[in-house]
Amino acid sequence: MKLLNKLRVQLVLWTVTLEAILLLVFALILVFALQNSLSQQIDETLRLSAAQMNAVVDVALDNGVSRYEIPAEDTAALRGRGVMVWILDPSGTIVATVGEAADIPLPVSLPLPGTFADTLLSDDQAGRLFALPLQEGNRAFGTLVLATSLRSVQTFMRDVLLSLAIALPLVLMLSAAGGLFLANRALSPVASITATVRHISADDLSQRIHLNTQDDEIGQLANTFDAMLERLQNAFQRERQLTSDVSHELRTPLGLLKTQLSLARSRPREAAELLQMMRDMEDDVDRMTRLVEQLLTLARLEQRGIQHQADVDVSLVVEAVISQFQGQATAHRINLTLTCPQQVNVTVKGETEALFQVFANLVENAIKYTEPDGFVGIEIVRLWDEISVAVINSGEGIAPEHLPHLFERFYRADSARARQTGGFGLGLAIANALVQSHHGSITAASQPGHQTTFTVTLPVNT
Amino acid sequence: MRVLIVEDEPRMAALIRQGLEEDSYAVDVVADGSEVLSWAESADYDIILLDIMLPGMDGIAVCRQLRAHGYIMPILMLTARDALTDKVQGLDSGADDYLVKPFAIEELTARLRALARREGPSKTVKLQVGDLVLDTATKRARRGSLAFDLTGKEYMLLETLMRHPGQLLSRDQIIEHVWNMDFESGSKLIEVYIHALRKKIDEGHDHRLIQTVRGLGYRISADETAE
Repeated sequence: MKLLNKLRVQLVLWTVTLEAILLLVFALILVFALQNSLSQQIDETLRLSAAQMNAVVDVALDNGVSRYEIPAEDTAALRGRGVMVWILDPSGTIVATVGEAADIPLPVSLPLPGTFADTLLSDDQAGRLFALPLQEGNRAFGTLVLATSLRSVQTFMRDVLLSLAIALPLVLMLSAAGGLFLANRALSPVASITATVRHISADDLSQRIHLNTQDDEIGQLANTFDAMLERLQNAFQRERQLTSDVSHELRTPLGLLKTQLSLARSRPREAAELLQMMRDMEDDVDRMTRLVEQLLTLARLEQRGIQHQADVDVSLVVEAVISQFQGQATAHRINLTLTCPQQVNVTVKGETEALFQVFANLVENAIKYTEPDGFVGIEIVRLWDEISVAVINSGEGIAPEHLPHLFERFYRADSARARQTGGFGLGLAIANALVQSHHGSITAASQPGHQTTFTVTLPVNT
Repeated sequence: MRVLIVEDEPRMAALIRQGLEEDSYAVDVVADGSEVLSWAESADYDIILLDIMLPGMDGIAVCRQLRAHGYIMPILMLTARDALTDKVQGLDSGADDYLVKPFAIEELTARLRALARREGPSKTVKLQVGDLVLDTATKRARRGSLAFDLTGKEYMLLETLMRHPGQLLSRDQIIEHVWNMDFESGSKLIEVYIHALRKKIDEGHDHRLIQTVRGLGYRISADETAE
C-alpha cells in the first residue's frame, strides 16, 4: 500500500491542510490589524505633535520678515517621540528644524496640508510625513512638515512576521504528529482486522478477530466480521461434510462393483455364476441410482422449493401412505393405525406428491425401527391455524444426543443398523426440506425404551 | 497361506473371501475391529487384510494393537479414502502396505504375493526346493522338466512346506496355514493331500522331496540325509 493511500495519512493531511489555511488567514488578519493599528498610532502621534508645534512656534515679525522661534524645552517631548519637524515659510524655505530634521534633507514631494504621505527619509529609512499650515488667527505664515521614522515599526512587524513564520510550521508539525498518533491509535484495530482477514481462506475459517475490548464503530465492525466468519465456517463445514458423505456413499457401491467385475473376469466361470454376479452388481447400480436421485431431490428443493401449489387434504394423503405400507407392516406384525378428526378441515396448500413423500418417509422409518408386535400410529390434529401430523412408533427409541441431528443429511443414529436396512440417512433430511418448503416444521421426540414421535406441523389453508 | 480379512461391509468381505479362496488362500473374516486380536491369537495368520473404517475399533488402532502384542505378520490396509494422512497413519501404525478402494481382485492378490515374498528368502514369485519349482503367481509346479497342475488345497499345502524348506512342520502348523476356522482339526484329510502331492512330485524320482517324520509331521527338503 502506498503511503498516500493510507487512511491515517490522508486524515492527517486533510486536517493539517485545513489547519494551515486557518492559521494563514489568522496570521494575515493579525498582521493587517497590527499594521493598521500602528499606522493609525503614528498618524495620531504626528497629528498631535503638529498641534503642539503649532502652539509652540512663535512667529515674530521683524521688518516684514517673519522670525520663527521655537523654545527647545517645548519640543523635548516631541523629540522624545522620534518626531522631526521642518518649518517652512510661505515661500517654502526651511526656516527652522526640530530634532533629526536638521540632518535630513526635506523630502521632495510633500503632502498637501492636513494630509499624510509616505516617504523615504534616507536610502534605507521609510518615514511618514504630515503637513500642516502654520496659522495664527486667519493668517498663515508657513508650513509645518512633521516626519517620523517607520524603522521601529518595521522592525516590530518584521519580528512579528518572523515569529509567525517560525511558529506556524512548528504548530502544523506538532499538530500533524499529534494527529498521526491519534489516527494510529484509532486505526490500529483496523490493521489487526486486516491482518486476520488476510489470513482467512476457505481452507481455514477458524480464525477470529476477537476485538472484544472495544464497543466503538471498529469494535462493532470486528464483531460483525467474526459473526460472518462463524456463519461461513459452519456453512463450509456442512458442505465439506456433505461432500465427504456423498463420496463415501458412492464409493462403497463403486468399490463393490469394481471388485465384483474384476472377480468375474479373473477366471473362467459358469454362465449361472456370472448371471448371479451381474444381478448383484445391478443391485449396487440401483442403490447408487437411488442415492443420486435423493440427492437431486434435496438439491432441487434447496434451489426452488416446491413447484405446484394446490389444496391438499392431508388426511387423504396419509390414508394413501397407510395403504401403501399396510402390507409391509403386517409382514412385520406391526399394528399400523390412523387417528383423524371427523368433519374437520385438514386442507393445506402444497404439493400432493411432496406431502406423500414426507409421510411415506416417516412411516417407512417408523416401521423400520419398530420391533415385531409393536405399533405405528398416525394422529392428525387440527390446532388453531395449524395441522399437526404425529407419527408415533413403539420401540427402543432414540437417544437424546441424536435428536438434534436427525434431520441432517447422512446422519444415522445407528450406523450398523442403517446398513442392514439399506438407508442412506437422507429420508428425514428430505422430509424436513419438503416440510419447510410448505412453510411447516418437523420435530422429533423420543422416550427411550418406550416410543418415538415425529411431528409435522403445517399451516392450515384458510 | 492363511489370511484374516477384517472388513465390516459384509458384501465386500464376501467378495474378497471369494477372490482369495479362488486364489488358494485359507480365509477367515471378522467384521469388528475389537475382535481382531483374539482371532490373531487363535490361529497363525500369514497376512492380515485390514479395512481402515471399522466399527468397534478403527484399522489404525487395530494395527497398533497387533504390533504392540508382538504380531509381526504382514498387514495390508484397505482404505476407502485416498487421503495422504490415512496412508501415512496406516503405514506408521505398523502396516506393511495399503490398497485404496476400489481395487481389482488381481491387484489385491498380487500385493499379497509381494508381501509373502518379502517375508521369505526368495525375492521372485517362484519357490524352489531342489529341482522342484513352484510359481506362486500361476499356481503351477515343475519338477525338473516335468510341469504339473495342482488343485487349490494341494497348492496351499505345497506352498506352506516350500516356504519352510528343510524345516519340520507339525500337522497343526500345516493346518493353521492351509485351512480356515471351518476346518476340523484332527482330520485325516491332510494325509490324503500329502499322498496326492507325493504322487505328483516324487513318483518316478529317486530322491523323495516330501518326507514324513512319524508322529511329528512333514518336511520338504532337497537333502535326503536330513531324514
